[in-house]
Amino acid sequence: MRGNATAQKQLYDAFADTMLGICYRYTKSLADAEDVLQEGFIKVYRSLPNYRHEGELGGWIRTIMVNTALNWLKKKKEYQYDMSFLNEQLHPVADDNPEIKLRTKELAELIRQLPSGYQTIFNLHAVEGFTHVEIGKMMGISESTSRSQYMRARNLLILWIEKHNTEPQTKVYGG
Amino acid sequence: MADNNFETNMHRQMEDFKISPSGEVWQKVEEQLQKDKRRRRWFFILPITILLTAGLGFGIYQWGKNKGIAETVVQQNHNAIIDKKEQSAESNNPATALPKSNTSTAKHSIKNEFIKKNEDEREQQKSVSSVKPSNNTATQKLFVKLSSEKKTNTTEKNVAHKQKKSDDVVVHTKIAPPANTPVKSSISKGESEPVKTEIAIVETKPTVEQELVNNIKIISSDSTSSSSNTSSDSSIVVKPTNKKSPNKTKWNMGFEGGVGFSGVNNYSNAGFPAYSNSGSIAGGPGNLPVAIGSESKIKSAVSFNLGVTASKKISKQNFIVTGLRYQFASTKRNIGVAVNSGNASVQFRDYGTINAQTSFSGGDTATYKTKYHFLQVPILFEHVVGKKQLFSYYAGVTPSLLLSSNALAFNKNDGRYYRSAEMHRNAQFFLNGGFNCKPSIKSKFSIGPEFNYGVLNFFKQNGPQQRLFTGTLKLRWMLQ
Repeated sequence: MRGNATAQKQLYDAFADTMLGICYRYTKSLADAEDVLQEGFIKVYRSLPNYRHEGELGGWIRTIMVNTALNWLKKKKEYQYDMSFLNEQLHPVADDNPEIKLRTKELAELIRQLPSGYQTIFNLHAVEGFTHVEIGKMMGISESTSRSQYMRARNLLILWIEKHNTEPQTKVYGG
Repeated sequence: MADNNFETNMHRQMEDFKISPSGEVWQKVEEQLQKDKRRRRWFFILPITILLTAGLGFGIYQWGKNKGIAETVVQQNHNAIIDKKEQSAESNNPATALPKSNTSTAKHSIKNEFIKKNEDEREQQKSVSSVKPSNNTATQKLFVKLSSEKKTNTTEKNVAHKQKKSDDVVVHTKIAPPANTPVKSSISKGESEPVKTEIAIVETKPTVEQELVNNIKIISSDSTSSSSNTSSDSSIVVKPTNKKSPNKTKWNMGFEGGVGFSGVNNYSNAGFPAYSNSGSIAGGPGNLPVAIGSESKIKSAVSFNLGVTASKKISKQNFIVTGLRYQFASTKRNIGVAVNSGNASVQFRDYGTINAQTSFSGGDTATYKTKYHFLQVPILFEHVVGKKQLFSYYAGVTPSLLLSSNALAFNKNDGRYYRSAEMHRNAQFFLNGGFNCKPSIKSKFSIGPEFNYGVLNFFKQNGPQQRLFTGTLKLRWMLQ
């Protein structure tokens, strides 16, 4: 695989779309998402000899993409302010559980409109399924901070979803 | 639970979220992968290159260092001889030496004082005393020990040997005292025997220098007044000893010969367009080709070489090997029948018009043995491996002169083989490599395989593309 360009292209074709979807959720623009995707795939090819065939290849690549996205966000100056979290008190948990009538694309756009810190933690917990302990380790924050930030993000998102459900097709989200 | 539904729905919905990336992404990824590939290549090439360069550099450095040290030591000893002779001359006539000498400088005065001082010290000291001269260029770094002993004649006695450490290099000399300033040892007060001064120059040097300095021995002799034991004439003669480190300073000659196989890499069919049957032969038996056949395969055959060789040690384990040898190589191929035995002007491929002495049709009715005769000058770098130095490998280049060959060139124009010396490239160039092993470190014989590969096409430009190679089992016999 390492020196086989055809095999490398096949791997890229098989996973690029899904992985760009992941990168897209962590960034604010498609160009940024493609930058992360490019960096992530290069890491994938470099790390392939270390792949132990434990679990799905897609899951392994997904982990690399998420880590790449996190590192990318940490490096980018424009996101650094949003990514600095204060150790806040836990936000009251909302009981709302709106029915998500949005299409996937619209939902992804809503997630991307969250502040970067919220966006990242929301993606890691709600979509990727990481626990707050894991998120805390990954982002260098405490578990409680991760939890409070997530609840803020969740409430904000639910608010937007409810608003969107009542006023469908009134807002166009750009990439 | 309701919260879990939100997360579950979110996860499920986002799992299906896909976006197609633009084509630029893959291009950039591919570029980066190519860069990685090049970097990986350098990762392997660079250390090898560094090692080879360092090895070669070290060899050259050692060679240059040895040469430089040899020159320095010779120069120092040359200066020492001049100084000592001047000193001796002045010692012979101490009363007149200073006034007469136009070039007498403070240096000479210091020398005289130095000698006198030593004589005074001899009277005061029973054992060896030490001083450090500062005016003698040859002894700037040397430590001079003076000893005074009671002697009845000028029999040479090497005091330095008594004091010599295991790793010291000793150059010793003896200077008889001036005639008008008789010196008596404090030990032998009242006795009239002449006292002999021995100057032992003790120097601790690195091993390489030690070896070179060891080759020069400064001894005293009464060359101008050998009849008198009490003469003050003390001249110094430098006599190189017969001990020489073998192989390091001179070429080691020998003979070598090998027997093996030779073959030809034939690329003639590659890169040449298929020629139509449009060739013609002028002056031959017919203007039209008599047969169109494909070129036969060239098979390996016997080769051997014989010559003289010379090797020179450039460092502890590295040698330069060269020589002059005759190399015979041969190959076999199937051909058809002889078509022309006279000169023929042939339009040969895109080579142009050639004069061919002989031509053969294509086919397999006969076997043609091609012979190559070369005069070669191998220039090799040999590295000896291991403590016992029984095994070595070498590599290098071999400029070669083609003496003669009956090699055939196949012409696709008419499907014939032509023999034309004017197509052969007389100046050839081979890459060499091989191994040598010998039964013991002192053995003069060594044996091992050697491979040669022709870098240049055997035929001249636009001719058939053939490269000659040989493999022989070579026996080497060195005289030392």
